[in-house]
Amino acid sequence: MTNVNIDRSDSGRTKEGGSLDSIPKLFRRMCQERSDSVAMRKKAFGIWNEYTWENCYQNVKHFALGMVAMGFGKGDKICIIGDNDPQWFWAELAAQAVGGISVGIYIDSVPEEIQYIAAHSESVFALAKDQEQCDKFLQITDQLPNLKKIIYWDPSGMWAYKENQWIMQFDEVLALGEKFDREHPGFYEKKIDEVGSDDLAILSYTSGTTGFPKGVMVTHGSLIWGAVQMSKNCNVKSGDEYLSFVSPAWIAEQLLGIMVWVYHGITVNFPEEPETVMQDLREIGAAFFLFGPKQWEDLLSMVQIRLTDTTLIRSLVYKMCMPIGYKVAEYELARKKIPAFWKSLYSICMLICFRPIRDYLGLRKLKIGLTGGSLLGPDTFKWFRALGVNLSEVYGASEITPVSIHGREVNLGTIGHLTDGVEAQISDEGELLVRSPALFKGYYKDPDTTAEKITPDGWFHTGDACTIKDGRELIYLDRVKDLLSLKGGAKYSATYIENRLKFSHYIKDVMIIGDETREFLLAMIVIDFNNVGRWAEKSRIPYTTLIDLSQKQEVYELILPELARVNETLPKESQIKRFINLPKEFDADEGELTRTRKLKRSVLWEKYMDLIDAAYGGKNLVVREAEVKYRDGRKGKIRAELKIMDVGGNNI
Amino acid sequence: MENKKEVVLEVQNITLKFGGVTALSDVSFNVRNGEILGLIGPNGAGKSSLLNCINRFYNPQHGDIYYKGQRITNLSPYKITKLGIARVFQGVQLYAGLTALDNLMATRHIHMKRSLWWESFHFGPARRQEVEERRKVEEVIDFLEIESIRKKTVGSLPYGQRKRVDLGRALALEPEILLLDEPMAGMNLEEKEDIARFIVDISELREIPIVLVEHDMGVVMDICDRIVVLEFGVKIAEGTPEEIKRNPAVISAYLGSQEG
Repeated sequence: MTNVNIDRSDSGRTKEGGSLDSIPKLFRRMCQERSDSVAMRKKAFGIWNEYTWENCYQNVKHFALGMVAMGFGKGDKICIIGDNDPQWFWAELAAQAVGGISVGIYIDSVPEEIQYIAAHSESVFALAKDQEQCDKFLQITDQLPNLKKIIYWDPSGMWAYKENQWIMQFDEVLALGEKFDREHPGFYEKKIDEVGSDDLAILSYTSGTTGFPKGVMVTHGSLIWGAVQMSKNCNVKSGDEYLSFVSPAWIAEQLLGIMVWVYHGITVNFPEEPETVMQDLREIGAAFFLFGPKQWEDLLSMVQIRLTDTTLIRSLVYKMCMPIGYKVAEYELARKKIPAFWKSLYSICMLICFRPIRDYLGLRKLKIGLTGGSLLGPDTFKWFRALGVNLSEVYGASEITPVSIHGREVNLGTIGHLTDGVEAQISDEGELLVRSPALFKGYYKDPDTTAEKITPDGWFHTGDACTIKDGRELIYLDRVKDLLSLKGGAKYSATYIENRLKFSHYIKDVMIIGDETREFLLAMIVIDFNNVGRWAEKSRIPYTTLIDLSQKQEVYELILPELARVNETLPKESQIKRFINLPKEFDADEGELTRTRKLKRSVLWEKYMDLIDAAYGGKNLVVREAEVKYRDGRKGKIRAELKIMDVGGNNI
Repeated sequence: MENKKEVVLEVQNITLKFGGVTALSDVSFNVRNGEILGLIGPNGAGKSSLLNCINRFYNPQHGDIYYKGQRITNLSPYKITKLGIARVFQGVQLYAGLTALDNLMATRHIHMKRSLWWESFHFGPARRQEVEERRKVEEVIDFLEIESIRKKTVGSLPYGQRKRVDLGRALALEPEILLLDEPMAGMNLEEKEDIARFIVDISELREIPIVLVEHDMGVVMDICDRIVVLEFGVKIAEGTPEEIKRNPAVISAYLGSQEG
């Protein structure tokens, strides 16, 4: 691992003296520079509360010293689980400042998953947002020999735990730290100076599409390098407003929320609740942020749904403007000069249609909207471009931080160009191999997997099937192990087809089935209960539950053209021939999705084996009993008769 | 142990008649501090009528009701509210055209002390008062996790959320006793779980007694400390959920008919 040379001249400010080779040093510098300007905002009780850099510095310092007072030292870990909040960031920076390591956990993880990560990482503290998260830890304390305390920061609902010896409030730790600081002045600053670029900053547990999660060891140097790449490509300026939404347990938020924040001095805004993010986004008018494809699609379907309820004149304006938007976006994407005629039309559309929509969505001040995690459907992508929203794919992994990003050069169908200093090649199996200055240190306590994933000369096996265009642009196909072939040998990418199908706002989730023993593709569809329900109400079709609604003949006929539309884009030998509407949604709690909402195919495949067999066996009706697990642990059964329908060729 | 808690509400020998129909006949029970009291019975057993007697919508012909030692049988409904008895009605009783926030703010008026004169000019003491009331309302919003619908008109919300706002409105009154009339009717399992959790939280956090009328036996048996069973206006049993489950009169009148 090379030492990363910090050059901040590109941000317009030159620095002298003092090496800035670790996150706490960068953070300290930023706090000294702009002590009284706003570093963070958090909406609580309906009001945006502001925290200055000085506030943040004091909180980080005292939390760090509070942990030290309780025996936290170099190389120790703290697990953090909770919604995006200032405390999340502070605790991570606090741990890093005294040589510790933060371990982010996704908020909807179940106790078994948390137990695995906390035990594997040997965490000594757990920072859990509220009662719900504390409860998860309390269930497993006997299996976590290293754990000393569970610290919470949201006191609501915590009244019952006053006497619990495991539980401690965030403020109590701060008070301990303040006392420690009085007794040991200068201790904290000395600790910061001891942290260097090669020390571990975070353990990032991979979402675990296969097997147990693996702890990726990421150093301060790697994260700083990643932040430099991100800010360069996103044209970040100090003082930009940023909306923190995706979980900091994910490397992307580590880079954007935490790293770009301490590196550039942007203002990070935390939404009140995950459910209020759309309103909060509008109030903040963020300059940049990252959403997963799901959230971008939600924004689009929000507009589509509102359009069905709006006045005739408004929907007419929308219908007239959108083609013009698409046309101009096409010119832009092809990097052609836009003819004056289209340009002037576009500016009218901007005024009467696009700007109001962007305003409604809270995207008016957006400089760049990032999307990552999985592939965004091209149709969604184009729609945002047509509105003049600068949408950009970013591709990377915990192991190598960002690999490619669109930034200012957007090409449709690619996932961006390689960031500076990254080398890429495609192996014989079609797998993307990457070499980067920010390569991770290996998987925690798992040298075998590390050796499998990194070649001796430093190439990392991404596991992704890609092609490289013009030597520097990546086109993503699928996970290597997920490229599948049908009986005739025809290859297809299930994710690609699924993404195309999910563009329909009647389809919430879908899984495509087909392998070497099958001759055609089968689609298992989860309808979007809200949107299809609304459609059913309008069409005067009575229904009760998702089970009932999904099996209506009319709903099957509603879904059918969506499949036919996607089939048109597929080669004849790998088209979808049949489909089933599933009576329940895919659920991460039942192990059907990963925490980043990717399908766990093997689990689903096994679970729905009877359906799959029936569909390929030519049956048109299956009776099925599904087991459901309620939150309190009880189990129940749901019985349903499921229809299977043929798609056919062009029978629209 | 439970029995040692102080009695807050005493219902004594209430009889309520509508012409020749006897809705309630000689019903007596106590509500003790900090408990959740379930009130169950088949349809038409007189559960809602009983609540209506407590907050004085109905005039019982016989009997008395005491709240913290004070006889309230002759008070008018708005005075009952001022005493701290809040009620959530069956169905939704909100201002459909106002936002969730305004609905909650509107209930705070009974706590506002400034005159119309001050309130007409939004500054000084009136403004301070409004900020204070808003803070209390926001605490309720936070507690019930309805931040995302704060600014939405109630009429546009789905039923489950409207019910939650309704519960919020009762809480915004800062009640000292809460009467809930079928707060979970018409909800799905998940919404019911949420409301049940809120009810338990209200009871333990605010330490106020709650009278809960509910049809879902699972919920009642799970969260109530004591249960009173009515049938055709007569109290046929009273006790802990365990006792009620074993009570033969209850089984034949209510639970038994469910099995079959």
